[in-house]
Amino acid sequence: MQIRINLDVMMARRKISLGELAGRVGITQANLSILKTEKARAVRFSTLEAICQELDCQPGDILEFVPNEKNDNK
Amino acid sequence: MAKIENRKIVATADITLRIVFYIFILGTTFFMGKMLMGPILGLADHSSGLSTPMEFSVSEQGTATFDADNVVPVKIVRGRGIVQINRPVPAVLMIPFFLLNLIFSGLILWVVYSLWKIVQSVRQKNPFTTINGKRLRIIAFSMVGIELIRGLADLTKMLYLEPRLHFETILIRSDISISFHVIIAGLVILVIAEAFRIGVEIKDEQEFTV
Repeated sequence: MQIRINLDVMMARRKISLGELAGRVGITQANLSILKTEKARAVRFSTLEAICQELDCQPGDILEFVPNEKNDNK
Repeated sequence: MAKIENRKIVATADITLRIVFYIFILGTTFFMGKMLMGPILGLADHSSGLSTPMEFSVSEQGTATFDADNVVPVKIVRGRGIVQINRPVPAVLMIPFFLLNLIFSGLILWVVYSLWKIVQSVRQKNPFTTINGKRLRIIAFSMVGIELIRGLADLTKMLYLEPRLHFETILIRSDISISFHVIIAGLVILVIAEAFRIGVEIKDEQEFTV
């Protein structure tokens, strides 16, 4: 996975639980868990916006690009 | 209203396919068993007799009446029929016949089973799955395969029989009787299967979009 999700880090910093964040963002806990465990294939801008709003952070605080080793060698 | 009727149709299709599937298994087992065990048990004489479709040239004359005083002559020049020979299938044809029949029956069974499983998934309101895409592909390829094998089996029989058949008034001609609409239907299903596969991919992606 080249995009790392740092949602758990931000949630720990803000001391907010998964269920609470899911409720505030307006998505199910299962879907937020999919995002947190990096199983999601895509994130809607509206979801990202709501998460950033609730966690008071930037998208870059949640999403991080991790360069692939193979690509680096090339 | 339409929704309820559709559900009834799907339920009926489910039951029908289930019955067809089990009847077909029984029928195939019986037929294959008879074909294999027939000669050993002395049952072969009637059951394994040769029966094959054929084409023939013929010259038969008659008339056609379109209205009271308009009678025109009509000629039949070509016909189709079934050759039936009531004696055991010759040993030369026995093995290819058995193999072709086995593949033929297997494919039909496979098609019916796949269709049944698709109908079941529709009943469970979860038809858009990867396995159903594969099942559609199986149905498509099997349909083409069934038609080709049927044509091949008929051709094999006719090639064997043609020089051995003698009639006074008709001239036998071997011909591949593949029905192209079945093959085209198979190809159409193949295209639908591909569209289905893409649909499943989109659905999967959608499911993991948060």
